[in-house]
Amino acid sequence: MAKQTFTTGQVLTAAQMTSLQQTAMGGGSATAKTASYVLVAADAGTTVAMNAAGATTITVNTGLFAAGDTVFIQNLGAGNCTVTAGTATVATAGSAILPQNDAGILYFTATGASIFYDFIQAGAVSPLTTKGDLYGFSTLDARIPIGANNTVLTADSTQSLGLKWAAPAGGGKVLQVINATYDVEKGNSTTTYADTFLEATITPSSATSKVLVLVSQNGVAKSVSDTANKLRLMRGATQILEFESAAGYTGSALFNNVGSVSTNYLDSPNTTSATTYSTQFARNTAAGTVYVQADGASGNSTSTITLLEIGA
Amino acid sequence: MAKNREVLEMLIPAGGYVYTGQTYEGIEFLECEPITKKQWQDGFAKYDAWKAEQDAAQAATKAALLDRLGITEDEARLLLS
Repeated sequence: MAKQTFTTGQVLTAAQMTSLQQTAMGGGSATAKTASYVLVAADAGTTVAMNAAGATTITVNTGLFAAGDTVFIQNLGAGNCTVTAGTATVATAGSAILPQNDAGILYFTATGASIFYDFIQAGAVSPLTTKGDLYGFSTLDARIPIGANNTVLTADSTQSLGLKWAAPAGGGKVLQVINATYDVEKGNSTTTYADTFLEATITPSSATSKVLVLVSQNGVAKSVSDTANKLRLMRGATQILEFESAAGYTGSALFNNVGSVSTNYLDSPNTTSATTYSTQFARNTAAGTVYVQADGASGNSTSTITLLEIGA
Repeated sequence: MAKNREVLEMLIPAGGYVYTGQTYEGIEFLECEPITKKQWQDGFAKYDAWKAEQDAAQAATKAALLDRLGITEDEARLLLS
């Protein structure tokens, strides 16, 4: 019941006693509100129950309540209800925003000063709904949805919750490694470059990444003609490095099995598309044949290529 | 048994091809007249005799040269060292 002023000798009715008892126990009949509301003096000692689908406010003004007065405020509706300072102050250690099924007590320390004791700390409804969700805050408690796999939580003041999920910064780190081998002998008796069939494909996670290409072209040889083996590294159809121009050269008509020719090349493909690195070979003079993965007495030689994506 | 590369060097000494592995299907005749699969297969049977001829001819040439110079093979090797 609303705050009463009793007089000497007044006889209280059973209804008054019941209402007073309910109020003393923190209950009592509620005054239902369905829209934003400005508290009045008669609300002292009562329960104001907001029930609206949209956001509402309950405004607190000075000159209506005395020190020690209380108003119990509950929100039954889906819309948040905000206890708002009008001409009186409203202090709180919690939140002045009541989500659905939250409540609190407005306690006046003076006619123009109040404290709102929010019950949210006693257990409000969690905004979390999904595995991996985080508890965040904007102007009220809110859900930070779980991000995509392999992303990390990053502070970003432009986001409503101040956080976002983003790909990890990979500066200087090896982000992925691709490896391939090829062990079938190939011969080329022309001066036109031919594929060695040693190749590997990488899809960089960022256009700023570099790709470190490690090649070990094995079984490199030349035939019994005065020639030599030249080799080049390709990105797609583009030559990025001729890493050998005279492997096996003897200055004579002798078969020469060089063995391994290697190269390390740091490339900047500037793409996030699948990118294929390969090697090609050719003879460097007008006669003879050159070989890669040459077949030896104990089997073919195996060439290897390794691609490392290096974060910018 | 001869290898693909040896047979191709015998059959197409001027070159002009690219090959992969040890099969006829792996041969690309880019700057030369193609040979047939039969010619290629027969080449394996002929290779050993052809190689022996080549080696014998080379040995004869070397011996004739050493004889003309009047030095032994070891002396020739010493000259080149």
